[in-house]
Amino acid sequence: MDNIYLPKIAKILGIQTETSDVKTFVLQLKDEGAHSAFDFKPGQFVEVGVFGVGEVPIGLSSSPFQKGSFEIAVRAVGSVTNALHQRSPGDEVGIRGPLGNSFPFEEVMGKDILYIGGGIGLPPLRSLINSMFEKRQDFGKITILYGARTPGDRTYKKELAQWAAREDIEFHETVDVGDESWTGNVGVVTTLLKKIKVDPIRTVAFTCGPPIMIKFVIEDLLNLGFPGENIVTTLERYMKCGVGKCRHCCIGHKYVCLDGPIFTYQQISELTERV
Amino acid sequence: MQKEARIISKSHVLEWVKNLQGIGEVIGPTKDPKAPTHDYVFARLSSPEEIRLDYTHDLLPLKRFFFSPTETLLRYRYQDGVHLEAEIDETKRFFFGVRSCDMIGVRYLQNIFSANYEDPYVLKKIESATFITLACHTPPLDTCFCICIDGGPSLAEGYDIQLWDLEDRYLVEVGSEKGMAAISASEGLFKAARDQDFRDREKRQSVTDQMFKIDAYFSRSIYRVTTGKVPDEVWQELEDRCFNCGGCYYVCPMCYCFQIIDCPHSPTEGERQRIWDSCVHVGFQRETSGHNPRPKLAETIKHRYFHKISYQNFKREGRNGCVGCGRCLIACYSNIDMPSVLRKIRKDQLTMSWKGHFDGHPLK
Repeated sequence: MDNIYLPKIAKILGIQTETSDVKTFVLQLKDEGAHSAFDFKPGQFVEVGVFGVGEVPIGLSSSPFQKGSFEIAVRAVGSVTNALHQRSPGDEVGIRGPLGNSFPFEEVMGKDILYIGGGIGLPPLRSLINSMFEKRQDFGKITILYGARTPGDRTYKKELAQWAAREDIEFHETVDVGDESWTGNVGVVTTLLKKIKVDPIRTVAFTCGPPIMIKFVIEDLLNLGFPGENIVTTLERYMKCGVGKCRHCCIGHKYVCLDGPIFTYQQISELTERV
Repeated sequence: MQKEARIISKSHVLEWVKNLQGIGEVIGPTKDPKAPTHDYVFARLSSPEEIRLDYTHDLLPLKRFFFSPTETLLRYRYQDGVHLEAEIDETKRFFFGVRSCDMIGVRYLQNIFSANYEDPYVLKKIESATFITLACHTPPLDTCFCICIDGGPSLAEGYDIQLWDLEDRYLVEVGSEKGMAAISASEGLFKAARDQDFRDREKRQSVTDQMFKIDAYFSRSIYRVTTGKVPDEVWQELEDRCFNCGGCYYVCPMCYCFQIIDCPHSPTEGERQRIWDSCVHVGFQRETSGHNPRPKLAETIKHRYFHKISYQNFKREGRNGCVGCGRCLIACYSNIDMPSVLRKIRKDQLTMSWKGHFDGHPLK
């Protein structure tokens, strides 16, 4: 019987500062066998632990096609995330997982794909976006919409520039509030929906971001004629065990850690408790 | 089908307990002579004479022996990197004289903690234990309602050994190989059971079944909770009465919410602990940002009862989250307990008085 509460030790290979409060951590499990057995799918998360402070669930942000290391993007908000931000390359953290279900991937091959990401909601989508780029010919039209609060809050700035330059995808981004250097769109992410053409029946929409953003995105997608099962989103809850025991992430009879974190709008609308 | 059964004379029970103590720890109902009348408590016996098989009820459920109020999950040490240690308790223990309701509670936890991911801390302790249950034969407490929710007063399955008190002797039903092993070690103390013993058991059972004083109206309430037909006013009224103390969680054999915390002993070492927590606490789901999906007590109480009796959770967990042990009736200062809440849910009895239903109970 494996001990589900005993983390694997991971080494921090590198740390990239994304914004003033978001850092990407590049991690590798210390045990070689454990690392090669660490097999995840986009959308899954890990429990990252700083011993002496605690654990937090964080979505994996790198593509599973990337071998040798995996990445998480962490915003410094509470005690564990702030403690993580004070770590340096070479330091060790605890990792439990991968946990939870994953985004549909094979299931949506041949479909058009629409991504709508907001702020710190981009990292989990990035795992899926980069996976789809590895198998680009298996998917139809890919459109990415990204919104951040301010130009300084944009994560993965280098990659955003690469996406904007790609010919095989459509990419738009916006900020809620611009500054003197910003020449792009200003407004919430849903305003970008007016700039694109999608066929709601042959398109699957993936959205991740703050709850209030997800709420408006889902409303707009439904108005555009998206069927509930074509809207894929993530739910978040305070979480402790990550394995369906402690009940902290319970919504009705569903567990975000076991049944989620990925849900279709169809599934969410059938939940007995308000999301 | 008739289970393998034996008879042991009451005068031989202490010798049996003593023999079991030679194999492992024996935990049974004991009583502090200075304690008030109902204060029986399950504890490790240092001598067989401490066992009190005439006990009524342990105020705390048996779950605490398997799912501890505080449990060390791991110890960590920083020294050229991080070093981790974890200990799993696999001590052989006999739980002697367990009530049916507590046995079902333990089997329920065993089911929860083995679903999807196996929790070694809980499961290894249960797997190392032998359960010798005691079918209820004395009049049940005024707070007992196991008969309404298939939680007793006796068991059809789930025990290793089930004892039936037949006045001068016990009928010993064997439910598992572990149970058989607990008898084999003291073979000379047991005789074969005769037909008359089974007839005596039936008689006792039918008498006990008639003695329950409380009705708990589950079926209608399950339907109403499952389909969301309970008006918000019912939960609001419960909020007005509830102190949010979490006492109902502590005494419930089926409640298992928990929290995990890190406890540093020094900058370089410490432990990670699991501690009891309750979904009825309003901070249960509060996030760092301050966002709280269930910010009102009415919502957390609703969630707790939804979890305990809705069909959705019945399907997920295999049974209702209540065994009718009645401990919530004893623990709650505000008379918010399963039978009272069911009465409210069943008929939206908003005007029903809370007073009087259990006031004056000897245990209150």
